[in-house]
Amino acid sequence: MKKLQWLASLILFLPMVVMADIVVVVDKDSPITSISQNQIRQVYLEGGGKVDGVYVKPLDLPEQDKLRDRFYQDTVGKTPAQMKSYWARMIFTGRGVPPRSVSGVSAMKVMLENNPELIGYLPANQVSGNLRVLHQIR
Amino acid sequence: MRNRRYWLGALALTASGAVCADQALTMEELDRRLASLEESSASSAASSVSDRISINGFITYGVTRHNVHQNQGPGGPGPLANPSAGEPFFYRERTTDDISHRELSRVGVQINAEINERTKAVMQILARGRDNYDAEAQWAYIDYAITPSLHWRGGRLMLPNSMHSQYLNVGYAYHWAALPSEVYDIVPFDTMDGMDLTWSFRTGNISHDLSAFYGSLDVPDNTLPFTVVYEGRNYTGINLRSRWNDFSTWLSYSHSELSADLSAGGLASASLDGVPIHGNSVGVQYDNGSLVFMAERSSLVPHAWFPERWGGYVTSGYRFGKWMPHVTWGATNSHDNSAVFSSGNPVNASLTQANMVRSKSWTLGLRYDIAPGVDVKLEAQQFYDMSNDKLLETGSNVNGMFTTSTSAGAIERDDPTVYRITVDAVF
Repeated sequence: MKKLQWLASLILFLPMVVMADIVVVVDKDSPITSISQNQIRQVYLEGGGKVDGVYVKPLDLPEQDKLRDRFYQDTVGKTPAQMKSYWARMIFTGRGVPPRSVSGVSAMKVMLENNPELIGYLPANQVSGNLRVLHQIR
Repeated sequence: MRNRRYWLGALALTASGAVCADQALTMEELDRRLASLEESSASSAASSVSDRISINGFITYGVTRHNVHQNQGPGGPGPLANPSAGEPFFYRERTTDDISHRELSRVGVQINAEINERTKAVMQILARGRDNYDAEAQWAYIDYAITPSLHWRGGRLMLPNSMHSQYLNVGYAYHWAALPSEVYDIVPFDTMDGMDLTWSFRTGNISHDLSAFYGSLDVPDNTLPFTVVYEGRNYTGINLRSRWNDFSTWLSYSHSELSADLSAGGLASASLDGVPIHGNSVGVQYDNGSLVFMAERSSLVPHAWFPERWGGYVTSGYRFGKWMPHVTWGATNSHDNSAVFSSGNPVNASLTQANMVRSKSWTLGLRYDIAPGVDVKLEAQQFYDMSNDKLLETGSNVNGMFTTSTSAGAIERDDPTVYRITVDAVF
């Protein structure tokens, strides 16, 4: 019976998670109120940067996460392999390190809620009241 | 159960610094706070280990050979004899028509250590198959952030001679199995010991890295029958890397004073004593995720018998999912060394003639991304127009990058081609 419930919820929720819009979020205590796609791109390609005069550090979902792949495809226009190649150039010339990866969506939420200097992305339906949506992707 | 709940509540309240002990807390709220504390303590523990020391690496296994099944000619009598007579033609002094598993194979390991918020230490060790995997430091430096956008580095640094020079051993970072030799064969050294200063800034939507360096280098060279140590002093340079959406550009200039004692080989008159040498490079890249385009031109102007040389290439490729076919046209030429020939020094003139290179090539390649971090590449590079006849320097090297002997005789086949297969990974 438990298994059945689990299956039912999987069938119900999986398509929602997969198809959910992606939102770029910060903690509600952050002074940042909006971010352009170009700024998102710069912050994620440079491992950090100033938005509205405030320095933010980006967080990533784990490698191979479908939402992460879509985020990079939609904001930076690069596939996972291209990002890997980009960071190879940066790491091995000492010019930068990739954003820190968290273990998943719930860890992303907790990290963002506790650190106003961090910026991250989530499925639109996972945003809690403690977070501020800066940008919506489709 | 009641005890446990009390204990949990006390822990959560104390840990989160709450002052109001009377505040009613639901079990869910407590769980949430505990989870977040766990998360942040776990993450701070992680930051002390994984954030402070990180280890990355790259590896390439490659096979290569060319198709010139012909040995070098004997040359003329006496001083015109070819010391490599009867040996195969060596593309870039190493590759022959026998398959080499070593020439392209290499491995690199990099350790980044964060010392404090502003200071880090980076060490990258490279071992190349062609050096029998003897390891050597490519990068070994301290990085100090004067401000978040101004970094000073000191130690051993890779030279920023051309657009891809500072990651030239990281095969996964580019689409070729080997960087175009027309450009990346020009400057015969990769690293220097010194410092650089990099300022990162933006103008509107364009990101820039402006970097200046100062240092020196000592490079032992074994291409002559005896070892020569080339000493570069007061090596200075400046470069600008800019990025705007899918475009990026590269500009660089460098200057140094080169010395070398060639008297051990009886070539004292060819010794160099602080001769000025300067290099420059300009490049552009476009990558919209599917279409890739790059063009680059570099040149080296030594005021010595070592000939002036420029090289450039234009490349384009298109990604079809994991497949990326690409095509490159490259050209390189040594020109205007008339000062050496008119100086009346026959030793210098013959060294110049041997080191002059004229060559053009078409490269067809295919890259396949097996997985993020692993690729396999196939490539064929066909050379043509390797004659130096057009420079009116009778007796110059006529075989481009296939030999440095001026008396080897011309390669007979009209399609000398270098083949390469590589597997690259980063980790």
